[in-house]
Amino acid sequence: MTQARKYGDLVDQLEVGPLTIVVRHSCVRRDLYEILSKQPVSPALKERLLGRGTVRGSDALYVVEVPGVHQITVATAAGRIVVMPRIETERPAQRAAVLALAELIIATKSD
Amino acid sequence: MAIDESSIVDAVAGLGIAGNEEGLIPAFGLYLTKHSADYYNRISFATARELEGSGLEDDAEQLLVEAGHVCAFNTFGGIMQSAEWEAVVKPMIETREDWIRGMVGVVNAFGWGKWKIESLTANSELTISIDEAYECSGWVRDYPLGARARCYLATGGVAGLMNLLYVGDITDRPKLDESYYRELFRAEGHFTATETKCRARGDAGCVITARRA
Repeated sequence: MTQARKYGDLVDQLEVGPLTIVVRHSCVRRDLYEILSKQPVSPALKERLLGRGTVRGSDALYVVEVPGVHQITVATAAGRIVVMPRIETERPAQRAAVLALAELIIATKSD
Repeated sequence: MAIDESSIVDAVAGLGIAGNEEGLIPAFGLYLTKHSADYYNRISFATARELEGSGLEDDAEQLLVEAGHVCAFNTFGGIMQSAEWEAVVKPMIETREDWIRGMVGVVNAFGWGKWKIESLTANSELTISIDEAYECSGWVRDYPLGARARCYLATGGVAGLMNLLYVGDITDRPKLDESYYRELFRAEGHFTATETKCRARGDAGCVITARRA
């Protein structure tokens, strides 16, 4: 019998270009994602995310609320981006949204 | 750089942390539950009051403080590993004790009462005073003063802080699982806390001290 995953268990680790995406089990309906960059996050990312939802916080630390999709927390200098999916989205859609965000992070690195 | 609590409070306030349509508060890498302080108070106090006169009063207290240990382990531990912590608090940290000072700043930003470090001896003792602690505020409003302290969750939280820093090593980003919990809270010489003053007993404020068991 397969042991059920617990909160925080590592589900997957992906390399997307220069980024590492760590996927952890949250509950039966969703995973938690952390995108790690060795470099600080570009200030351009915040500008690009403005059109996707409500942005709160400072340039050093901000939260983007994308309605019905997920909440993104960006620690700019540390290069850490945490994505907490909304429960109404299915796991494949959660992952697709995070991968799209990763592509955006990569695209804004040169901005 | 010393821990600047006001900058922590400002940064957390700027994030506009609030509950969402799921009844949760996604923050600091955690899904905190959105409910009123009285919801938890009513449940814990009903448990304690149900057992009054049964001879199990101390057991009830220990169970409710244990809930505080678990909360401290997961919530404080999770916060100390979060992106928010890394962005706001970690740049100010110079010593291991600063992790406790930083966490007290986050607690105050969340509004779980007004915590103040009265004394902190590394690896030995921590005394926290709390003004307007939400647990005893609820008790004082709804129930008569008595001989017992009632800030169960905060008491477990203060012990938890010391166990995270001096029994375990939260600075090394350990996996916060059940095995690690037992390592921290069941180990020989782990920290336990006592609430020596509490508004629920008629004291002016609440004071909690954690020492090694």
